[in-house]
Amino acid sequence: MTKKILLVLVLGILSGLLFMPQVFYDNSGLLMDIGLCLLLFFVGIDLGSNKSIFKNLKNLGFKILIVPIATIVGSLIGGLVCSFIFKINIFGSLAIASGLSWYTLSAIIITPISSELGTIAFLSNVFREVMAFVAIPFIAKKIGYLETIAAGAAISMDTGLPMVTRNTNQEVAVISFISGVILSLAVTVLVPIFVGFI
Amino acid sequence: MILRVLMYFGILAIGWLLSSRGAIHGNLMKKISNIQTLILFGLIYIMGVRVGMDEQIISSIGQIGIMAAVFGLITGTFSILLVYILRKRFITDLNITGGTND
Repeated sequence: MTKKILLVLVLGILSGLLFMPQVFYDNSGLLMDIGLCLLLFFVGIDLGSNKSIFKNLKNLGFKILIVPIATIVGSLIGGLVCSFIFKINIFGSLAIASGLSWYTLSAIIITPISSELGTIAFLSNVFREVMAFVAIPFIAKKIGYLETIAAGAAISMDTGLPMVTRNTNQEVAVISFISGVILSLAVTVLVPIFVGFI
Repeated sequence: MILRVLMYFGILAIGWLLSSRGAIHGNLMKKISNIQTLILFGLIYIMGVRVGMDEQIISSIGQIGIMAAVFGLITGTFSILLVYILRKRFITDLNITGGTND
């Protein structure tokens, strides 16, 4: 699966670089929305076909929150490490890390303060999303199901959800959606807070 | 953003309701996995095209691309690591965690 995903992604990038007309880019957002809605509908059908999902999740209770909280704290630790590696402002680094794959929002909030940090936020979160797409099949197979959610972070409720579903199971798909919602909300709170300290 | 979350939730709920009430034809149920894979590859292709056609991404990759890639890798890795440590400690249901708990 990972090889196929990588191949399709590279084909897409090359197509975009070499010959795709501008009109495709202009309508690509709509195309992605339609594809995503279709996928979510089919994920819903998958979930409905398994009667024991919510019973299993009920047993977990508040432990479900471990995934989004650990994902956020892990990213922030990663941001601290990066600030020491690249010798950039700690709060700038934490703001970038708080993007949690939501590259448009984090870059939009950071850019007015520093266009360089904004560009790093944009690119690093693009890379994180792309890396998650490529790595999720491997992570699910070799590390564990819940870690696939941590890889994609905020995209776990939308573009990443079908990938998680395809490589794990329905219970994890529900946790993925819930975690994705919490992580997306966290981006809207954390990025402005850290930007305020830069 | 709230509207978008509600829309995603609504679409998931419609699929879930139709399926749980047996309104989805058996033939379609058998093909769902293949349909999902097809749409998924379509989405990944479009995502690639968008990256390839985005001048902001392409023009800045040369200057700070490596730094951004390392940033994405490190933040992602620490998130995975922390989820791994905590789920080993607190979540034992193998159906949910996958992998092993030993």
